[in-house]
Amino acid sequence: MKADVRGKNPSPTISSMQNPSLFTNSRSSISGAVLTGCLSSLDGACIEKLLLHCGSALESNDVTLAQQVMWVLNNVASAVGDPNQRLASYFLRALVSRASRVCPATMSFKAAGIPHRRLMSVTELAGYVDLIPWHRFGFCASNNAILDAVRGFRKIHILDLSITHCMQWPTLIDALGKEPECPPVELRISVLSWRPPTPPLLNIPIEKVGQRLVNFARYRDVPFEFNVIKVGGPVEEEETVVSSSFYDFLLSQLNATIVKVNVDEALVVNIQNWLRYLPDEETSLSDSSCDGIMSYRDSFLELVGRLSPCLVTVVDEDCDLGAQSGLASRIVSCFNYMWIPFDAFETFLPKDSPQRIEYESDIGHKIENIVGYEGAQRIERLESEGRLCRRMAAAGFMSVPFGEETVKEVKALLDEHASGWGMKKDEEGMLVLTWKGHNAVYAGAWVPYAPAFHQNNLLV
Amino acid sequence: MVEMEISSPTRNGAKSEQLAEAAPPVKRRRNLPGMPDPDSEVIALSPKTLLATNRFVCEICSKGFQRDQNLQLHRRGHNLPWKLRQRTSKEVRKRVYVCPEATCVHHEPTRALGDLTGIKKHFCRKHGEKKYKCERCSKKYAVQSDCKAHMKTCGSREYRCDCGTLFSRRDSFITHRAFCDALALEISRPQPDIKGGGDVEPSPPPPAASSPPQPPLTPSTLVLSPVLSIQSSAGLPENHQTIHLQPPPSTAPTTTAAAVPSSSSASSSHIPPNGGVMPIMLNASTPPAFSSPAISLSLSSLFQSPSQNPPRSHYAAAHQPALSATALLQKAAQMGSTSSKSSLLHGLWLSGPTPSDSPTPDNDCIKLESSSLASGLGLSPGASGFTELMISPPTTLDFLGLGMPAGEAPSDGFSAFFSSIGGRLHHMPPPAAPFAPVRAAGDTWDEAQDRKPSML
Repeated sequence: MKADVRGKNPSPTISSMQNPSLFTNSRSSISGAVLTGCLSSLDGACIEKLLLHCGSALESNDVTLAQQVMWVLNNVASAVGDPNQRLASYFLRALVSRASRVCPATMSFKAAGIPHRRLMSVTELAGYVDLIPWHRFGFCASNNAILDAVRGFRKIHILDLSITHCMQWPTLIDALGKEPECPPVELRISVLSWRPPTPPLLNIPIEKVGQRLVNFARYRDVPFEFNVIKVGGPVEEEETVVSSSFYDFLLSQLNATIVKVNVDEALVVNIQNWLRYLPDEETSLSDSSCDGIMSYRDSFLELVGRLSPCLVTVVDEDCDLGAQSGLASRIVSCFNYMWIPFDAFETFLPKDSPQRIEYESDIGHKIENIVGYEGAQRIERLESEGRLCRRMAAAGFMSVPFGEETVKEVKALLDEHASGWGMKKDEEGMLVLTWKGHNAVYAGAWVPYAPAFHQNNLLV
Repeated sequence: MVEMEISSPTRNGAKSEQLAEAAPPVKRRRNLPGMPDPDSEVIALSPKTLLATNRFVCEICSKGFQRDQNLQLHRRGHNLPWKLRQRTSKEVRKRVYVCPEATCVHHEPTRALGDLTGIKKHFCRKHGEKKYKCERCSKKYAVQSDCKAHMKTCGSREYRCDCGTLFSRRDSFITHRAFCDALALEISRPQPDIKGGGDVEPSPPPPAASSPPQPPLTPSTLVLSPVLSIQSSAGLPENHQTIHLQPPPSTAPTTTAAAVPSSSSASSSHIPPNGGVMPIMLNASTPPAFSSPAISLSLSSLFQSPSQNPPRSHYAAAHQPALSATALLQKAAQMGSTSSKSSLLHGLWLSGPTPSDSPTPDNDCIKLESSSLASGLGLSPGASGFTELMISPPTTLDFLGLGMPAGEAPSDGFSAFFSSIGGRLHHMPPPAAPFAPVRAAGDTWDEAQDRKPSML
């Protein structure tokens, strides 16, 4: 399995580097003594240090040191060990693939030997999102906030930007179906035809998913419509590199006409684990309507604001892995962060549970991208809660605290899961899912300031 | 008779007030909660008083009691003289209580609750803190009796989907149910987005049939629509079909099932309606009685796709008597060893230009191509799936005598298939993307058949 592959991998790939014999001589090298000392203690702090060393080595192109550290990591990591070991094995794989790549810039992300990604069925995906409250937390908080915000409206239009293939919506549809209003509230959900190339991957197109939602809504007597907004262009398959021209194109298509904003509808923009795929490097954009230098992420938020939604819900992972982070610090932050779901699984699933392994390998896929790539190919640009709040404020949004009912619902949800999951509410009104006290996922809600704000493109 | 006309209700919870007069009921009736008897006395208590545990106090020894009856029992023990034993006679008027919480709907005298215990519980439930917790599921309650009542049923409440999976949490149940195949509604396929090209309808005036609900069809739907159009006469329910059905135009209104392309004349054949035959594209909730003619129909219809789609090669339906499904398939394979077959594949999976070589039948490869074709169509028995062209019950395959086990590496069949075509396909995406669904789906279906996802 992975262990075997891993055992073989470092040698042939790294042999393409300078000195293959160095591998076997690692022990005798100067730093070897330090490294072997590490082997005796396999705790997370040690692995973190190793990763830091490896990251620094790669940053400074010190191939020798990188090889040595990888050798040590190879002995430490294990795909079926404790969370730290398992995590380390994914990191090692990512580091190896990075180190062995000759010209990273010219290879597409998908073509770099990423194994065939597993495609799930909708039913499997439904189980997947409920394995741990990682996604369900965001779903619950957002849905409740949405219901609060659209109260009184006859029609709701939700622009759904997420990676979970509409798993969020059955509970919302169900909640709408339960409300005894007549005439019933009409719901319309729009998704983009493009989706970031990241797991979880589904084996049916989004249109099919939408069809199922339509049927479900019919079953619950909720008037429902599902739209797929074509945001095609240069990208036809998920497999190609997402280039900046694509983002330009994407942003140019996010306007009220294409999104089909109607004035009699309450527009909600739901951004779930999606914002992090928009590049956050500051570049001067071709779009001349934006003054100054902004990143795609900022422009996107501005566009959203111009749609005048009555609510924008953002859920994402609380970790800083954006454009500004160097490799070594990124590796360490990523390791400390990804430890959270790994540890969560450890508490209630056996070491060889297929669900756990699948989930972990999806995270491994992310790690591979975060650690193994740079520039445009590094699509996973996580942003912490604090930075996002500042970004939203800069884009002209004000935060809408979650209501008491929402907080209660989320708490009740977490009560039903393992006891390590908790929640905290920060001073800005955001909710943060915590595992053993560590921040995992945050959820927030915003509304844009008055529309005139955006027309002037000024910051309040 | 509860009359809601009130003479002069004051809105700030005065000590007591009179509601409008009405004839007192002859016998004791229960009023609807929150719609009190108009001539009842409205009492507004402060939260402290409401929740006070001992509201009834003995005047002799100042002992407090929760209930009036208990107080009376206690007073008997004091051996009071007769006069004092009687309670101050005051005409006992029915009392209703308002909720002290100002924002509450029951704060209005018109919505007062008639029972003191009731108002206490209401106040605690709605405006109070949840102090009582169920041990099993950690649900919290403000009223102890609620909690006790819950504990009786807790744990026994499980959500069961029609597919048999059990869930302990409602949200996971709802999410599963929304996407579960067992959802007992017909699921029709929405149209994927289109690439240019016209209809598959063979005749010169492309019938608007497939068009109205969806404008240009993707190749995959091009594949489908003929089948569906043929099936329409079978009386398929229309409302769920996003692929609209209509009989092909009258150019060749033959009722033959055959549609083997043998000449270049374009025509379509009207396949006789088959009761219970649903397009294979539709999903498992459709009746399982599914006969192979449907598949052959689809194949044959595919080959009917003529000049509407300029890049495609010409096929035509022959005016032949109905052939057996196996024969049809073989003929299709025969014809399809050419670029026409690659067009079929294009129709099935790809979008893009098709080579326009002239057909050269290749009898040697019939068997291989038949099975490849079948696998290309994704006929895996037992799959209760969603994807188009991938659904058929085992009987179909057996009927066709393809003898292909379920879900057996369809994409491998593809590779063989393509190689048999000799690489004439111009547009051949790497195996990773479009065919991955085939393979992976096949795998997952086999598992998904009788798999109950293990929930937390």
